[in-house]
Amino acid sequence: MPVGSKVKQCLANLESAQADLESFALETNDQAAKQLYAQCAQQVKGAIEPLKQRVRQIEHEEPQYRGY
Amino acid sequence: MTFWQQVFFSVDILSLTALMMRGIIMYTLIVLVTRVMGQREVGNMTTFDAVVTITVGNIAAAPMFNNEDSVIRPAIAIVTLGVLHVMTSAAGTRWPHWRRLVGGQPVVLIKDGKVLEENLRAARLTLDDLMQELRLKEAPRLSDVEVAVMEPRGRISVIKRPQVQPATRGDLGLPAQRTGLPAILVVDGKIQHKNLKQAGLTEGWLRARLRRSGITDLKQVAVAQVDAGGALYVDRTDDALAPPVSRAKPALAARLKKTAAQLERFALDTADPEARQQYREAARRVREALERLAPLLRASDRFAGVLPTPEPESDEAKRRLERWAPGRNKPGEG
Repeated sequence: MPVGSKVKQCLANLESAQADLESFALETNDQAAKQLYAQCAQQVKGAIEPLKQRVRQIEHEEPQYRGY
Repeated sequence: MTFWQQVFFSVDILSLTALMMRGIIMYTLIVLVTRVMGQREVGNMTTFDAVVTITVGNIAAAPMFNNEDSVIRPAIAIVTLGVLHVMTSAAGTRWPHWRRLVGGQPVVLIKDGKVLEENLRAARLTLDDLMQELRLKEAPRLSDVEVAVMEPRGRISVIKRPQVQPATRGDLGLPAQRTGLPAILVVDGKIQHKNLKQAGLTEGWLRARLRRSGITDLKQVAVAQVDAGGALYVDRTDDALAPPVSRAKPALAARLKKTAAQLERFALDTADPEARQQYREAARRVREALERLAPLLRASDRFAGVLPTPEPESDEAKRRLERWAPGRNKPGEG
């Protein structure tokens, strides 16, 4: 069951998306867009948290996937 | 006193037209002689080159405005100098000893970080001169310099120790692609057939590539350049209005969409109800973020800062934009 690594990949994707959003927020000069990007970065962060928790659980249940 | 006599010989009175004729003759002569003498630029001359050139200029100057000078004698002097110079240079290419005698030879100023004071004196350089040159060559620390050489043309070349030299692709074991000489294929909408042929490409290929990047009319192309790898760069005539659109934002949207789908898949696959809940929650948040971002990520801001942001298409989008970015679409703006 290689779910562990898949979930981690997914997590990494989300983290990079969050970083992208934050950098867009910095780049744009449009105040409204800046705000929107920042809010969405927070939103994605909200999705990252439960996923991180899930990764910890998987690692706990199946230690052979630790570190993947 | 005929016109041509005035032009060529020493006379008492010089008419205006004859004066101009002298100018034309000397100019042509100088151009010819300097061409024959070689095409080194002024900054790249040996002292010897420079002296000969200045002498030629001096000789040429007087007869152009002085009625007491004849043109014939300076002309002969110039031609003689030119021929001599060419012969000396030619001799230099054949006999190295002669070359060193005439053109000077390189003098080593620094070796392994040690300044060779004697050679510095021989080159009539001060330490200040040397340090100035090192700073310009971005090697201000003497210990970083492996070799510094005063070249015969008056420049100083600096070779830095490998420790302070930037790593090359070879050092890092990175693949090195041949850059070759890029060729300009289109200028102002006109195909440069000669360059096209030299690059080994055909007009059909070029037109197909342009069509692929959305250009049907050659007039839209200001410059098209191809590199050795076959990549085509196109600069459009209307680029002030339509700069290349960044793909970063659509890519981000796609990535978020993919992640949401993956999370939903995990939720379906897992047997653990708690885990399912966690995945669903994460997917929901990603979808929500995606929905909020839709107006920003879709309406690629290619006109950002140039034109007002386009109106969102639907009322729904407008409402969303208003909710998350108040004041962005006030009536009367946009």
